[in-house]
Formats: sequence, C-alpha cells, structure tokens
Amino acid sequence: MKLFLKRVFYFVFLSSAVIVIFLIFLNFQRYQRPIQFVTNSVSFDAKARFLERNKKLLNNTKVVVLGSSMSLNNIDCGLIEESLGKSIINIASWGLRIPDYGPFRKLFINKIVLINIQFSDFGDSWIEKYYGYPITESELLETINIGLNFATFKSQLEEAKEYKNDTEHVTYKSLNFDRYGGLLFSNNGFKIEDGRWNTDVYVAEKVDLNKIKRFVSDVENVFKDCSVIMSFSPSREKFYSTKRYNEVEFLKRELGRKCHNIMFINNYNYKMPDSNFVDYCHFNQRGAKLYTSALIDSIKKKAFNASAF
Amino acid sequence: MLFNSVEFLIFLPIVFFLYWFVFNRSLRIQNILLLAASYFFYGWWSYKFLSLLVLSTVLDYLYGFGVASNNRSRSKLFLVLSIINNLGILAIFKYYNFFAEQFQIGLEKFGVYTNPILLNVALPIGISFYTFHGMSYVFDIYRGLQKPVKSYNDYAVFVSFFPLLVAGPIERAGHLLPQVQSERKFNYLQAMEGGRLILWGLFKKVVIADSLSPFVDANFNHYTEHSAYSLILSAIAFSFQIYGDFSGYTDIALGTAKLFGFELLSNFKYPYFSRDVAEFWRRWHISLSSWFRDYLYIPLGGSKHGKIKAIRNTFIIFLVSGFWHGASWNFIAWGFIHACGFLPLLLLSKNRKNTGDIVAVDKKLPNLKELANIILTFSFVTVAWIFFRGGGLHTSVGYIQRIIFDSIKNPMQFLAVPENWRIFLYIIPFVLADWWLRRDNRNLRSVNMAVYVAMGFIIWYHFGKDTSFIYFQF
Repeated sequence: MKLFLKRVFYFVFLSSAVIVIFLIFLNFQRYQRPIQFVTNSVSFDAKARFLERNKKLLNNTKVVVLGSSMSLNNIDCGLIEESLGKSIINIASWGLRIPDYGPFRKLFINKIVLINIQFSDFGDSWIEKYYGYPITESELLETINIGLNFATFKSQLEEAKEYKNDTEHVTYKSLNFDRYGGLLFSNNGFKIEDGRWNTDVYVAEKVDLNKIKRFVSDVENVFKDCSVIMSFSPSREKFYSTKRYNEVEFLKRELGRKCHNIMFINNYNYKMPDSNFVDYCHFNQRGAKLYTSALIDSIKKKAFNASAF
Repeated sequence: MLFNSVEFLIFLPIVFFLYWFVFNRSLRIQNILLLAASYFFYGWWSYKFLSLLVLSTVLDYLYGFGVASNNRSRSKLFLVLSIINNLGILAIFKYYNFFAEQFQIGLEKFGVYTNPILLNVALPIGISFYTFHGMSYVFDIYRGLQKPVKSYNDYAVFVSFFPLLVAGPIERAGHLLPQVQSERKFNYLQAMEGGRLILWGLFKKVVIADSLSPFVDANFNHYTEHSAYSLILSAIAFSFQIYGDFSGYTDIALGTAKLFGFELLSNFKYPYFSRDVAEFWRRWHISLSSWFRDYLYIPLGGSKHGKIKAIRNTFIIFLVSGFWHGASWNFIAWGFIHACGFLPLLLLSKNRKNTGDIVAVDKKLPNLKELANIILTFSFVTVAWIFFRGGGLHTSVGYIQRIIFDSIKNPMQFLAVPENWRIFLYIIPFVLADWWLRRDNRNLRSVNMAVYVAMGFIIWYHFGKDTSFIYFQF
C-alpha cells in the first residue's frame, strides 16, 4: 500500500507541478499583454485592462463616453476635452449594449454620460459569457479562477490570439486605444472590407418600433443617476431614408417622454461624404473629428448643456 | 456523479481511504461501505430514482429464493415474476412513450385520433444495466448455475457496485458475487494497473471523445449545411468518439474496481481491428453481447437447429440489442444493419472464422488482406453508426442521402485537404496507441511515469467540459 500511495503521490505532485509551472508561464504571458480576461469579448476585456490601469482617470473624469463601437470609434475624445475643457474617458467597446452597463452603474453617478448610437445598437449584446469574476477582482484571484476553470483558460488562449492579431495588424478590429480609451481609425491605408462597407445594419438587425421601445426602457433603467447626452450617428448616405429618420425621431420623442435626464441629438441626417467612413457607419479619423465638432456645436447650442458643462 | 467530474475526484480517494484504512477489519463492513458509497454515487444524480434501484434490487433478491425452490413450477413462477418486474421497469421508464406514440400513429392510419398520456420523466440512469444484472442473477439460479445469496448487502453490492452501476460492464453473478463474498487484500500490482486504466480511460474520454464531439455534433445536427466530405469525416469521427467515450468509461470502471480489489468483465478488445462483423461483436460491448448470447440466443436455440432458425435468432438478437439501446426506430435500424452484415458470414459458415487472437498478433503490421478486411469492417460499422447517432430514422437516412448526392454533385471536394483535418490529431494517435496495446493491455505497465504525467497534464488541459458519457442515456 505504501508503495502504491507513494507512486500516486509522485504522479499527483509531478502533474500538479507541471500545471502550476504552466499557469505561472501563462500569468507571465498575460502581463506582457494589455488585456484582462473577463468576458468572451476581446474588445471589452482590453477595455477592462485599460480601466484597471487608468483607475484615477475614471474616478476624476467628468465626462464618460460609453456604448458600442459607435462611441468607441466615432467620438474624438481629445477634441471634446480641448473644446469643452472637461476631462473625458471612453469606456465603450464593440457590440456593448446599454444593459451591459447596468452592473457598472455606480461609475457614472454624478457624471455626464455621452453615448453615440446607430441602428446596430438596437440589437443584442456581443457579450454572451461572463467568466464569473468582475473587472475589479485582483489578478491573483483571476489566476486562481483560470486554474480552476479550464474552459475559461482555453477561451483565453484563443482570445489572446485574436487580441494579438487585432493589435498587430491594422484591421477593422484594431484595439490600440488612445489615452482616453478611444480608438480612431486612420484616414489612409485602412483596409476596407467590402462586406462591412455594404452592410445595411437596419435590415440586418431587423429594427422595428418594438426594438426602439425596448432600447428606451433599457436607457431608463440604467441611467438614473447621471446626465446623458445621446446622439444618433449618420450612416453612409446610401443607407439613409426618410422612414428611418422618422424612426429616430420616434426614439427622440420616447426618450423625451420617459427619461428627463437625457439630451438627445438626432444627427442621423448629418451629411457625411463616403470618404469619411471605413464601413457602413464607422468613421475614419477625419470623419470622427468632423462629426465630433458638429456634436460639440449641437451640445453648446442646447440650454441643458450650458448648465451641464 | 460523472467519472470525469471534480466530485468524483474527491469521492474516489475518500471511499478508497475509508475502505482500506478505516473499515478494513471486516469484510461485512467493507461491503456495507461499498453499498453506501454506491447509493451515494447514484443518489448524487437523483435520490428519487435511487428508490427505484433499491426496489429493483430488493425484488430480485427475494425472487432469487423463490426461483431456487425445488418445486419446478414454483421456481418458474418466480422467474416469470422477476422477468415481469425487470422488463416492467424498463417498459415503463424506457419504452412506454415509444409504444404509446407508435400506437397513436398506428390508430391514425385507420382514421382514429387519440391523445395518449405520455410520461414526462427522465430515463433513470443505468436502468438498462442494473435490471440486466438482476435478471442474469435470477436466470443463473433458475439454470442451477448460482445459489441465492443470503446476505442482501452482498447481493446489492453485486447489482449496484458504483464503478459499473450506470454503464456496465454488465456483470454475471457467477463472476462478481464470489469476489464480493471473499476477503480482499490490497494488491499493489492490481492497484497500479487500476490507476493506469483510470488515467487511460480519462484520456480517451476527456481528450479524444470530448474533442471530437463538437465536430460531430455540428455535422449531425445540421447535416444539410455540410458537404459530403465533411459528413463522411464526421461519421468517422463519431466512430472514434463513441469508442473513446464508452471504452474510456469502461476503463475507468475497471480501474476503479481494481483499486478496491475487484476484477470486472472486460468490455472491449480493440473492436476496430476486427476483420469481420462477427469478430467486431466479439470485441465490442462484450458484456452485453455475451448477455444476449447466453440469455436470449442460446435459449432460442442458437445455431443448433438449422440455418433458418440460426438466421431468425441472429436477427432477433440484433434487433433486441438495438432496441435495448433506445426506444427509437434508428436504434432498431442500427441492429438490423448489423444483422444484415452478419448474415453472409452465417450463410457461408464464416462467422466463427476469427475467434482466436487479435489481428497480426505476432507481427508489427497486418498483411494487405487483413488490412483490407479491417478497413471494410470499420467502414460498415461506421455506416451503421450513422443510424445510431442520427437521433431519428429520418435524420440518418437524410444524412446518408446528403453524402451520396453531394458527392455526385461535387466530386472534386474529395481532392481538397479537409477543413477539419485537426480531428486526425486525435484519431491517429488513438489508433496507434490501440494498435500498440492490442497484443497485451499490460503494455501500459511499461510506460514511463513522465508519459503519465504528460497525460495528466493533457487531461487537465481538456478538462472542464461538462459532458456526460454517451452510454448513460441507455
């Protein structure tokens, strides 16, 4: 029996040692990458790491830009800070929807929230899976979690691969944030994908009045304790229609009726030539600057804004 | 409780420790511990169905005394009662819905529309296995091969011993009961072999079967969206998935039993190296095949009363075997296909041609004829697996139709490197390891500790998918 137990002990000890060494190696690798694994969304995880490293910025800032890639890519935070003289942070990420911000509600109390949206924002969240620990958890706990949850660990390896690809190559998914957490696409040399350029997101998302109402209800639930500025971003002219414009106006009326802390700016009919886009509705750097300038003008014109800023 | 779960990794050492270090002074107490552990193991899945297991065990234990009576008619009465009891449990929990639906469909053909009451209960895990344990015990008493056991506890351990409780091997009273009743001493070599088998079984299940599973599921669940090439690969992958899954489970069961000083019946002997269908069935799920042979085929007359009766009995045994797997037409079709594969061998009296050693036992490689026979048999078995996995007769037929029509429509697809070539990273090493082990399973002994550590690491790497064993559903 002793000999048997000894052999079992050796096996368990050696296997555990290999696993622990592997985990340490993995952890070391993670430190090399600016990413935190909290969900199945590489963009959200990268943003989580950015926030962890910029906690002071988040605490001290006055304006928080949040939402999906429409906020991440189409708002030039530097321009807003410069024009309005208010510190700003961009915590938006791909495919994030309003309910995804519910758990982080306390971060926006007494702040001004700026959200830029498009028809894609009426769809479902990209985040299907939270790995079971919040952004604020310590890295030690995170490592232990990875050690115990092998499926997570494997997803992370896949995600790390995707992250590497998205930061090293200038594709649509580029994840190189500026100092505010925003991400502006370059004007030249950007690889425009035909599929994305011609996507009609309104059709793809099957937008209807029910979806718009659900969106309003989400906004009402999540942003109770802050002032919100929400703008509706234009798409390429090819996809513009009066019917769609009227639906955005419907959204504006619904928000006005239900949420008294929201200033809604309908920029859907703002004319932007195709040279400012990288796809159906995301701008390049020039487009983002142009659009943000227009947005700042609109905000300044509104009386609400005078008190807010 | 699943063998490939964290719960079992905790449960097993605790029972092992109690068995050899705390309750090792009395055989009776050791057996009580084994029964308690087995009921805990089963109750972890469903404490409600534990009562069904206990009821079935108690009844067969009592019938055993009745069947042992010197009065032949009384003995027969209790045998019939036991059969009714066991088949009744199976009929209610496993087959009732199937028959009710078939009855409804049958009546609809005559213009009578009914709304039968269907049972909305999960199939109790292991029901097909523990009822067969009970029946074999009573049959053996009736045939004078076994005496009724006095101790309920000993009998209950035979029926419910946790390593074999949910998916076999289907044990025989004459093989396991004497082990339950005799004193067991710790044997280092036996325990080491058990440990190795557990590790190898886990590897087959967690690494091979579970890794092939997503590819197989994607193709079988959406076969209309996949190419013929992909569907063929998926059928091959399923052949290895089910083998890895079931033989992996069996190895863990055998290994676990060895840790407690028991030797269970072997269930697999490298079936994919079979040279014909008859040999395949002597190497695949052996405990079930031999159960049907001993308690169904031979009582029906076997092959001793002419070819016609032999053919009839062969078809009966295969159809019943298919139906044993599940209350669905696709399982019956699976059994029928195997019977058809067996038929030519029976007619040509070649069904006992390869009863001896495994192929190429003294050689490194098989000769061309042997290789061709192995590939042919494997292909046949793989086609039959499509019916087993299909989930319904309609799906299985559709799957095969899709392979045929898409192959004709787009034959060039077979010249391309398969998109999912990675499945071979699992299949090829598995085949090579099986080939190496085929001569002597004890070859595992010669494997270096470093290889086992590497296997442990790979298992850990693949661990965490909450996947059950395929045979749990039967």
